[in-house]
Amino acid sequence: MADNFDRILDECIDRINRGQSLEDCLADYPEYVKQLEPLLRAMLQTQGAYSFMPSANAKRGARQHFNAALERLERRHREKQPLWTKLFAQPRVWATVAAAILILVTGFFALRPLLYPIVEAKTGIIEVRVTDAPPEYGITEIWVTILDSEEGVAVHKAGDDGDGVWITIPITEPNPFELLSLQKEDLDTLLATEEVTAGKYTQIRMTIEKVEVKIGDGDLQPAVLPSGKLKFVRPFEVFDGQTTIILLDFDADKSVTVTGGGKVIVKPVVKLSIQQGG
Amino acid sequence: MTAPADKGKTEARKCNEAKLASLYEEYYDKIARYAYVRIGDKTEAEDLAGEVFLKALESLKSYKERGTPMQAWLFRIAHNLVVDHLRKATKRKTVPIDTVQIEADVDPAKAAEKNIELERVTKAMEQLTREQREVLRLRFFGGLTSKEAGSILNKSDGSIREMQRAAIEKLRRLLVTDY
Repeated sequence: MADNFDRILDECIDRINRGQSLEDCLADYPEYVKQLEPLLRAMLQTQGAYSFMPSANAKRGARQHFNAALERLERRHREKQPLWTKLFAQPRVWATVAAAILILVTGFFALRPLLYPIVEAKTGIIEVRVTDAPPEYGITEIWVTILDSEEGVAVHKAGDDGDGVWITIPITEPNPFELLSLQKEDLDTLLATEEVTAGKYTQIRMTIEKVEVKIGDGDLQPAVLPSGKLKFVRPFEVFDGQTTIILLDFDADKSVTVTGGGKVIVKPVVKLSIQQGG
Repeated sequence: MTAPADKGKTEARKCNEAKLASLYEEYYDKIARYAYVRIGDKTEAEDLAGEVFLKALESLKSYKERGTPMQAWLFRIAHNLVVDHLRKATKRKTVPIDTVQIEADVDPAKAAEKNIELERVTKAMEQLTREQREVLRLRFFGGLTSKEAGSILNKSDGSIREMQRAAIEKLRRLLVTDY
């Protein structure tokens, strides 16, 4: 019964959002008018109080910025294309070169088994995500800033010679991020992502630049961070065409200590899990 | 002759860029309203709405549909930018509630009435839980469906509907009470 009313209320809110009138919605549900009307009027009152139409100038200006950014991005992608891709975009060059390539390719495939085995560069995507567990001490906000440099978030790819190489995963979302909002809203948030070569990886490292904490309604205060460097020796594999999610679960309860003098000390306690996405 | 995998990625990127551009007209206004309710400053809300689309364009590579429609993803970015904005505003010790500006061609009495109404509704909204407020902001000002709001808050559309009803009932009680 309550669920049915919730659905009707929900539908009426959608209809009003699309521009229909309150009366039209009520006319469709005469048996619920007494319950529905006050709630929908409260909705309209709330919308009315905050009524605001962005100025046409602001919207136009923002749109121009967006279009310019879109063009810059497109140009960057074009510039990134290899020379031969650019050449192929031109019909005359394509026509001239196509025949030559056909001959070369035919010859190559005929001789290929004799020359060398196939080596293809395969790639997958790494996503680094963060979530958290609730804290104590009346802490209401924890702002974490990840060092925005190549020391920030990186993974270590195993090499054939045993050395390997560190690969930086660029931070993509707003940095700093508020840890407790993730816990309250039961979310994890994407911190960094990069397309990397498929294969075996052995370690993950992350450097926290600073942590700020809010207790109760007080102001944000910097926390003492004895060491912001986290390193996990945890082998995992990135598969071709697949996404590998590295989930860093911050245990806020164990990470944060408030001293008798009110000083906040953060020693990050993080649980790491690896998930293979699609 | 581009490799099929590269071609697929290029097409997906172009498709997402086109989709984002197509959402601009409708969602710029909605995001600006959503931001205004949270930060209380119209000019900054407009700036923030523009910033959401730029941020989305930068992060488009990380966007994957996986049940989250692009418009809901935009609101997730808006939420993060609003939180960041409020944090900086707290540090600057600014007051995050706007007062209605009296424009030259607006009746001052009406503007004052609107100001009082805004304060009244703001106070009532503050009495709701954090999650209830967010559901109403996304539904009333962002114009998202319950399902889309649920994809942002990681909740089912059923629990969003339930939370929404409880929130409006409480809001209504507070608005009819003279406090």
